[in-house]
Amino acid sequence: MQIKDIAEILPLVELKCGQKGKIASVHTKNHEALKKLMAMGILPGIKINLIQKFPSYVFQLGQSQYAVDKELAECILVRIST
Amino acid sequence: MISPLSCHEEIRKIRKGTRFTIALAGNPNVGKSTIFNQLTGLGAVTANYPGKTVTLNMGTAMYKDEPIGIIDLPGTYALSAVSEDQWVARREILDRHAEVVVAIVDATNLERNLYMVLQLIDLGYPVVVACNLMDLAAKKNICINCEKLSELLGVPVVPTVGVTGEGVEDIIRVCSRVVNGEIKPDPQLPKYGKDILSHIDDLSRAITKHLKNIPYGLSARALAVLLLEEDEEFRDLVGKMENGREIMKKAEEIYREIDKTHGERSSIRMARERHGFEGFLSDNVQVIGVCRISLADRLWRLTIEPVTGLPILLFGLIGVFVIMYYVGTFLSGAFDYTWATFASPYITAAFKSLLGDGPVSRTLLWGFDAGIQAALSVGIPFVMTFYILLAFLEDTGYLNSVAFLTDSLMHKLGLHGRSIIPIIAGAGCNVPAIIGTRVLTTRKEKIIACTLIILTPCSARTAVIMGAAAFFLGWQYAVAIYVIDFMIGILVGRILAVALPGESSGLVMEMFPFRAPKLTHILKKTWYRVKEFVLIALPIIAVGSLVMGTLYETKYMWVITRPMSLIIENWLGLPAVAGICLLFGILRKELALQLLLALAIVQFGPKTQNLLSFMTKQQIFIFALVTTLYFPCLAAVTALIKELGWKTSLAIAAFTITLAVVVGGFANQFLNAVRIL
Repeated sequence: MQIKDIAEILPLVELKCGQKGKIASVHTKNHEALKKLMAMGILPGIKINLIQKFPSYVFQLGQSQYAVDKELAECILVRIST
Repeated sequence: MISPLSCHEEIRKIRKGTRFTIALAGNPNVGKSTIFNQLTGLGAVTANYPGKTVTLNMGTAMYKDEPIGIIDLPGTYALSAVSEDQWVARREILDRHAEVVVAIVDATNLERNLYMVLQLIDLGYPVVVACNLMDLAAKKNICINCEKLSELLGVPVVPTVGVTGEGVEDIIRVCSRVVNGEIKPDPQLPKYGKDILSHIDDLSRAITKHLKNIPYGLSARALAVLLLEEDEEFRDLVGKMENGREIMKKAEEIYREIDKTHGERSSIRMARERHGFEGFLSDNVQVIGVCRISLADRLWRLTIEPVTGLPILLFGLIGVFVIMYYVGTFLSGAFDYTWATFASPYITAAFKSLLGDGPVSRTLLWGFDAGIQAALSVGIPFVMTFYILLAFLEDTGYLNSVAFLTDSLMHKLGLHGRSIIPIIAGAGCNVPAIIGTRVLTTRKEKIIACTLIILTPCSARTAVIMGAAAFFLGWQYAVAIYVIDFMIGILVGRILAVALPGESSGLVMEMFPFRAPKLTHILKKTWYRVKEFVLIALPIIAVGSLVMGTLYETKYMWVITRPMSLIIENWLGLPAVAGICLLFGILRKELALQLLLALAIVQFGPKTQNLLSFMTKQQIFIFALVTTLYFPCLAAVTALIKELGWKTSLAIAAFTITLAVVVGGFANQFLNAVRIL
């Protein structure tokens, strides 16, 4: 069960369009971007739904949609809901 | 840096003449500027913070025959000091320039918008919430109980519809009652988790014990919250204060404990707590029904899907260019004609009757006739057309889609998607394009974008390329100039992206769906921007024309251009007279060509209607190429100085001169060698 849990955490870039989950963690050294993500509510525990992958990553979070580039999408880890 | 008005001076003026002042705060795209416009009418002013490019709008509203000051803060998601706009918004609030802060929230997105409201309550500011976009919320089947929200927050909540003005006056009425003491808000401190609340208490006690004066008149609790948010400014500030070390020691202790129990930084913990409470609030005050996807939403999706979005973008860019070119040219002709028919003859007659037909009156006519005409017929038509288009694209939200689509492409030039619009606009006129770079957040981006704009041939330069190269040599030579210019642009962009210091910040943006634009709002925005342009450009062009006129009428022009002849004649292979024309091009680029023809007539007699009679084809090509590349016109330089400051602007200007001389010279040597012209 635990092993399966770990396997279900993926960076946002590896999700398929339409896949849903909860943000597990955000790891970035880019302090400025992290602060902006924080203020927008892109935080661990929040439900997320990937909408579009190209040219950048678009996802739904509550009532809002956000776009991040590939570098940041790699930093957002998502626990996939089954 | 020239700033139109210093912020403090303007704020003092507004505060002095009004009963009280309110500040409008809120997330981007919540209709804040619409409410500001509804409140203030046409009398608003914009002001800069010294050294900052973000402007603040200020104005006054009348309530019960008394003026009320209104400050429109930049739209931000939170009040930390990350970017320049946030810095300005935060500074205004910390400095307590307003008696009441009106937090404008988006009714369709309460669960994120309340974050800043909670932050303001945490800091202990008198807050009135304006719940805006109530009409859109109703359309989306979202029902909000404003009384309940007001009860839970302990502050007044006013429902508003900014575009129709519904409830906008209520904002002022409620603020006035708060200031008078008729309403006594009782802000409910956010109910965070128990452990966080006890950390806040512990830290507050340490602050009360050790600090005599808390900066910005904040409460001990407010400072404790800021420190738990790991706010850099306040950490520095407290660390430097007497006994501040003790407080910071306590704070570090708490940071470690939060890390131990939750495995995350204190700042993230605080943000999560606040978002959690915000979620609790919104769940309690709103009911969200089923919402059908609207036509506007579907259209919007098409603009951000690359398969459909890129063709739409291409079509849009061509549209902007075509409208800029045709409408601008038409208006330019109309202004020119009007001036030449109704103003110029009278001004000329007046000066001649007063001062005679001597060099003095002729010099003055350069400034007050030709100079003003230049500003009217070159600047304003293109500037105005562009501003209307820009306001339309901004207000519909299409600019946001464009920024998203082009972002990864523009990254290669060290820019963001946002910058493509000003650069394309540069093809109409560089001046509004440069002013348009204000939307870019880092200085690095502004410098790169401005340099690329300067390299974009504006309509005046297009006139020279068409009038000289295409007309006398054939269209393929005009295309060649564009291609050379384009390649230089890409190369310069790449070099600057690598060479300039500063990380380009990653893309994080909110995607805003389309909204119906409002004509009055577009026109008002355009009016303010055109007014700003006229205030900058008109005096500079008039004075510049006076100076050039003096040099020309006193024949000093020839003395000045003599040392240039080495470059003009030997290196670029142009006739000496071209030097003077290039100098005049500083006023307006197409003057370079007009003057070349005019001076040719003076020098070689009236039969010289044709450039080919005294210039070789190669010379014409080099002349058009150099005109395209060298020094931006005076109005553009003024705009540059305003946006980037003296030093950087002069550096960019010097760079373009060098570029023009080097490229022009090598093109000349190359053509000498291959002899195709």
